[in-house]
Amino acid sequence: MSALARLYVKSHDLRVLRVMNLLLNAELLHFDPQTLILNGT
Amino acid sequence: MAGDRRGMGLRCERHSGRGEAPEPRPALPSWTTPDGVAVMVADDDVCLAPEAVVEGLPAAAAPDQPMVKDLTALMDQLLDVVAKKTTGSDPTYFENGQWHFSKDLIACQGGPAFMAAELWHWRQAHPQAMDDAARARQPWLRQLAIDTFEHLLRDHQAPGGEITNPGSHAWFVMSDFANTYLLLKDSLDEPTRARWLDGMKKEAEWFKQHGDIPNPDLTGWLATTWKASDGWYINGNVNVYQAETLYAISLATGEPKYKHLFELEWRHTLSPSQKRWPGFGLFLLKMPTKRDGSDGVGFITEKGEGDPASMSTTRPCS
Repeated sequence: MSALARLYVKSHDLRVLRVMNLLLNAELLHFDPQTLILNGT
Repeated sequence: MAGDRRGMGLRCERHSGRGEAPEPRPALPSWTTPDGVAVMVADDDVCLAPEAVVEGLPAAAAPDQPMVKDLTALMDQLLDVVAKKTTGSDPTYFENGQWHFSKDLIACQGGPAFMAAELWHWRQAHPQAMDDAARARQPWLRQLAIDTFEHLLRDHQAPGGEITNPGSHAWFVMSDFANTYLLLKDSLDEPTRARWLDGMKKEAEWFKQHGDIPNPDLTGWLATTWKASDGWYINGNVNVYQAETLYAISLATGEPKYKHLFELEWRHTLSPSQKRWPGFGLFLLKMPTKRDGSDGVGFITEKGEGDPASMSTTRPCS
């Protein structure tokens, strides 16, 4: 995500934003807002 | 995040990749995951457009000033922790261009240096946000970044361009190097600019010649290494780093060939040959309806444990 964010900041390319959003939403499936823990297992 | 192949099963199913109705489209590989069935990105997806898509971008959000203030303060504190030797036995410190951690990985040398360059660059652009203490630190921040990459080029780059013994993927430090150049270039003298540009170009060339990134000069397979002309597939995160670094090098050098290499690597990362790299690439758990992808879900495959060579025998679809 950090590399994609760097790429988007430089490119302002919708292709990159699209992939970032897809990956972020996948991460949010495993994020507990109560504990702020992202379960990466 | 990149998806991890562990615990997932690659199934041979046919998916149209669009909506519910079956369409006469080629079969797409799919993964069965704990979050559902993920279908490989279709070739006509927006993210595989042949060049940058700039229409339909959201307006840039205004910076959250309290958060910016907290972040810059945190960056200052972190740099103090990792750069300064607080006790005689402190294993974490910076000296003579080298960051010392509990494990000295060349691949990780660029992280704090890039952070120092970012903080320096942001404060140069926002002088009103600097107090006397911050103003006094500016030369130190800039020098941390310069000394790090001068040390990298002098002591860890072979004449052919290879970063020797990186300890992990050299792309991590190369990304930090190219991005730091973009931040500092206007403050560097001409010999330093030339030396840094030469270093990043030689590194990219070395990776191209060794089949790690796409080589548009080649066609077909290199039988001796099993590396193809479209590059190796390491893992989703590393391949994204490769693409991002090539883009940064294209901006630094202004040479179109690096922009072309970025485009090839971007496509390879999201949609590699499924004959050579079955199951790798961008897979969608939920197809977005919005062009920016904000209502979709997906992952880029990671290998997890196992030998990548054994994966080549797994065919997603016959």
